[in-house]
Amino acid sequence: MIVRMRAITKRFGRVEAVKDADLELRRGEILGLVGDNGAGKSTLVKILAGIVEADGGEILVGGSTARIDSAQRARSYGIEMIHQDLALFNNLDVAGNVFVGRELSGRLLGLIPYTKKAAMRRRTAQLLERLRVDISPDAPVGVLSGGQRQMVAIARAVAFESASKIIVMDEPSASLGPAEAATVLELIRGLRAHGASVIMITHRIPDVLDVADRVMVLKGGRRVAVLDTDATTVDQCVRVIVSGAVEAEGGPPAGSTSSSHQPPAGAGSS
Amino acid sequence: MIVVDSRHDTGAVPTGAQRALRRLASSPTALLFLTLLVLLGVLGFMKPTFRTVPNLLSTAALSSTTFIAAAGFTIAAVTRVFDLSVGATMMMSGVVFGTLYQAGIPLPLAAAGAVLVGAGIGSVNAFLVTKLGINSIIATLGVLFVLRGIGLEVGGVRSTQVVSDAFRFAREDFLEVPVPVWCSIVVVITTHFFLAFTPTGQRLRAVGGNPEGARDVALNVNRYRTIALVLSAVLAGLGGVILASLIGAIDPQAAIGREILIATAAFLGGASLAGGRGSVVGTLIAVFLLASLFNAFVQFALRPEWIDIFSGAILVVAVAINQRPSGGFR
Repeated sequence: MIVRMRAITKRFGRVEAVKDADLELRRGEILGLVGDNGAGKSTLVKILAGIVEADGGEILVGGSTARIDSAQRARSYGIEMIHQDLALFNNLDVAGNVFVGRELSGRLLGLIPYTKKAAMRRRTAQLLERLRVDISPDAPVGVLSGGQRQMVAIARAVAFESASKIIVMDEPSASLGPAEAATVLELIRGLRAHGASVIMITHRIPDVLDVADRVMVLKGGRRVAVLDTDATTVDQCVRVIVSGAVEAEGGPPAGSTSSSHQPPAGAGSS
Repeated sequence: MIVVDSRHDTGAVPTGAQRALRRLASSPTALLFLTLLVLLGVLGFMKPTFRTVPNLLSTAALSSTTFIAAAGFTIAAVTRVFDLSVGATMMMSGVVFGTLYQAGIPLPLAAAGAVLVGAGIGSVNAFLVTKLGINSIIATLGVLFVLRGIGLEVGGVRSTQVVSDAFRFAREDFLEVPVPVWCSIVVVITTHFFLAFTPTGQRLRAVGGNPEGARDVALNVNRYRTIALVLSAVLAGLGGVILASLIGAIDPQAAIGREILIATAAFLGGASLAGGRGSVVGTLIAVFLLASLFNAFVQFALRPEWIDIFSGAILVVAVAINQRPSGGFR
């Protein structure tokens, strides 16, 4: 288990966005995170990525307690988040976006810092080639298509190798057409093949069943089920999202587990 | 047939000249430079005194203080913070420079103290913007009036001559080029290098282009806004020192309204209210363009009111051009 989030709680004013939620991410797996709007998916992963601070609960990375209070700190644990809006900079080129905040630099006369543009361009070209993405490192990001932008964001997340690479993606295929979405899903599979562990929020149930190993369902800020994607159909998954419960008959696919910490069926949204 | 074919060929494979033209059309700085050359050509044709080297050098020298402050304004604009207090900061630094010098403090120390006061004003701006969350245009507008008031309160409305050749160093030439022009050259090289070739410059552009995105990739947005506002005020302070030296006096009315000219030059040079864009080289060309234009107003004996009308109109047009999503003149 590379990430374990235990009893996470987060309130925004009077709204309890996440209630006593758990999450486990295995090393080298793709974990889908699904649920209705307001189920707490984004808040939960933002807590892991250091964007939002939890009110309560515990996070373990690689078995030891992690204090994640900033995006910077999350990065030090190898956690990279790809936001829904991608956080790209249209006024910089692809290489500039990949290296933003972590520029390769040298010092002129041992004193004056300067960016090593050629080296960043070369490293970006190698990275894009490894990901089998056909985009020029010099291209201004403002002119790229939605799918290409997603790929640049993914490239940035994996550009900096770290022992425990954990990638959190918020709706990676939401705004894409079918062909581009398929390419991005293929890219996500490639990440797993390279040893990354991925959490992927999505509303597209067929996508998540296609690419993920397991799917965790949130409702009303709580985890209500973890399903094995091999043994789950789209209909079954949707029913769990809507009802907040794994059905007793014909429903729960083999290998699926209702969260042991959770109250029985139906209690999730109360 | 042959004619049609040849046309078709020209369209398919652009010649070197066509490619150069296309590149020119997509570079606001190059277009601006071309505009400047055309303007100088026309003015020089109409009035031969205009195209003499001494006239050009004197235009450059007189506009150098505007450029130095405008370089700072550009750095801030790239970061999506707008420093309207630059003119008043120039005045305040100039007053401090003259006052310290007259109090017997050596010239370099007096100049350093004046620039340091600029840095202090920049820190106040940064505090208002980053800690209190006030929009930079409003915060620096407030600081502008506070500084003007302090200047008039302490220095009075009349300027005090500083009778000293050392104080008037900016009126000297070095290798037949006025000292302020040398200062401008140093400023354009260092600020361009800073914005284009350093990690901090790259981050200022990122923060200006997409502040929310910058936060998401763990950049400290307020830190970079502080850097930009302090640099803007430091350069305005330097401009103020040179201006005081050119005037040869402590003048609490110096550089009144200069912020409009400075902002116009930065926006004309490629900066945008949307942030993330701007070039000190473009700003330099724009300053020289505006200075030549106003010089022409004087030489052709046009009424000075027209300078204000023109400045205002150019500011609005420059902002309108650069706030288009595609940016620039395309």
